[in-house]
Amino acid sequence: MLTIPTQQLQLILQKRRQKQVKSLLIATLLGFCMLLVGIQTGSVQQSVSVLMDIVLQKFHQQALSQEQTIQWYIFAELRAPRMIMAMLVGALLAMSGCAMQGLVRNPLADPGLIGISAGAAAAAASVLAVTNHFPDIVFSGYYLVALAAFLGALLAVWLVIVIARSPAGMAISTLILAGVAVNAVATTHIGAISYMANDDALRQITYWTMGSLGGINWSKVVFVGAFFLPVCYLFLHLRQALNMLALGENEAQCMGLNVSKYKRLVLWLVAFSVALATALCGIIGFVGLVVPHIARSLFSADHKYLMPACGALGAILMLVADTISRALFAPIEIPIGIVTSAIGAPFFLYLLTRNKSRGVYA
Amino acid sequence: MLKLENLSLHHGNTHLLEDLSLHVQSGDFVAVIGENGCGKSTLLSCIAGLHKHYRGTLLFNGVHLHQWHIKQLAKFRAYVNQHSQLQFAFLTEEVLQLGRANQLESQQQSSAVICEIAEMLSISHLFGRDIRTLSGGERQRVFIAKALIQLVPQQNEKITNYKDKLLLLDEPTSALDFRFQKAMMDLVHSFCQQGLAVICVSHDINLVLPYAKEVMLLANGRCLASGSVAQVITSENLRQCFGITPRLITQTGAAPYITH
Repeated sequence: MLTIPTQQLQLILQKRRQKQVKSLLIATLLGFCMLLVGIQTGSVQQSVSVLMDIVLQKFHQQALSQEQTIQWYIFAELRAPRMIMAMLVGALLAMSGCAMQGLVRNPLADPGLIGISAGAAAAAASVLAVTNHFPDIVFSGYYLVALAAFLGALLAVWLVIVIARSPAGMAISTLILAGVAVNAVATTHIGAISYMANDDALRQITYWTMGSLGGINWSKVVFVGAFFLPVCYLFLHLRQALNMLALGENEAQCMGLNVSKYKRLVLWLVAFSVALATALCGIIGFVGLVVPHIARSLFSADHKYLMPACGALGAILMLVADTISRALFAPIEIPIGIVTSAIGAPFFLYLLTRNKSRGVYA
Repeated sequence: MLKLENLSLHHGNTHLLEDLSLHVQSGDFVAVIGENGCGKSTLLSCIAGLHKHYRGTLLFNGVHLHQWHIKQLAKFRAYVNQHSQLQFAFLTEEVLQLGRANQLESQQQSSAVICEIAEMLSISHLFGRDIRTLSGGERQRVFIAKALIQLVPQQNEKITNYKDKLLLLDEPTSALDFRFQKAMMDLVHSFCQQGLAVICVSHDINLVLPYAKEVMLLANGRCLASGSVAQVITSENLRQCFGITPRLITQTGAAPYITH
């Protein structure tokens, strides 16, 4: 027989779950609306009804007019893959940010803190400079840069972990300092490469570091998509561990969490996700920093709800940013990293000011 | 249930703990007292299993502490830290729920445990509140409740009391008001009567002595004296430990009261 306080607590928990699920559904609906807006927006305006007609005609195996063929090509080969990629990358970056903030117990943390983005940029810049200087040796420019960026990001994280490791375990403060050092080394490397590179390479490096979803095709979407599900599963698996870590490492260990194992898991998972996103789309800033904040204020600090919320909101934010990047100065496309920073930086400043007045940092 | 023999802990050339021995039985309340920086909290964290590189013997329920599986150990020992590091807006009940994270039970069962302990510590009214907005005392009660919740056996477990379980308290009453200081110690003592062993570090000697079955007096990481209250709490021992000679007010059948 349950006592009255137990029933009250059950009711509180049930209400909270319902509220979170409702918010998550609203977010999904918002995402769907953004998807519809995104489909129609760009240098060529398209209406969903026209696209639906084309789908029906294709279903009934009717021939398409030339205009319809172009419209279908724009939708199916250009817009759809980049929008799906935007959602995948947004979700990955936001969940990585959430995990990183949980790990270091600091709401102002970002995956870039441990040198992932800088490592990727340093490697990508090196390859861009070399391939630009020796165009004959290039066997596959884009993929070579992507591979270098991916490996550069992982190398940076590996360096940070090796520096931070000690017999007593890996201290978070040392990890952050090691991240600062690796970031500095990578930035110096980028500076040196940029100084020596010719104008063309310099432009390519600058463009790459701004992030872009241009050139995304279905094969890249499938590639990221194949990793997306297992990575998502692992992020969701970390929910309870991150909740425990939020109380402090000693507390978490006393509650039965293998802290060193989970710290390594979080770091490598974040490194892999961000490296994957950065390799294919360049550096996209502020998503990993800002989305967990928005999610925390809209949902809850409990990672059980926060992690899926970050995934959904990250996807939505990237969809919005992608639509803006295509629509604002159409037909010119603004690099998406600029858009996310333009949205994220003022919002971040607003959060800092608000938190300062409240005396809290979340 | 807990056996420390010649326990030492070094950090570089610094001797944090030196040659400590202690035997704790189920239901014991052990008070660890000593001056600031003498190693009380370090001893507690060592017993909690937070230091790997200790020397000596540290047996918990007959098994070396480092051989315990971390999840299993969490069901048998809980630790209340001196400071909570929570930066995020967790709600009171979310923190308490973490105490049941290792138990395979329904939410209904865990809610029943949480409510029972929350009622005992008078924190039920804090459900729904952001933990960071609570007062120091309220937060301290929440974290002690979480530790107790962690030790409550599962309903289908055969153990119905707290035998073989250990609660480590580091300054548990430092932020509590006069009323709750006494209430907290009474509550912890009632758990001791159900078999729970408690090791409590406190600077409030007069508060813990009436409950203590055994006292350990630490100075510079070494054990100055250990044993029953009467054996340890003497003017000479306190003078050696704190460098001052306090006045001891003794009454028959009651713990001594220490004053300047």
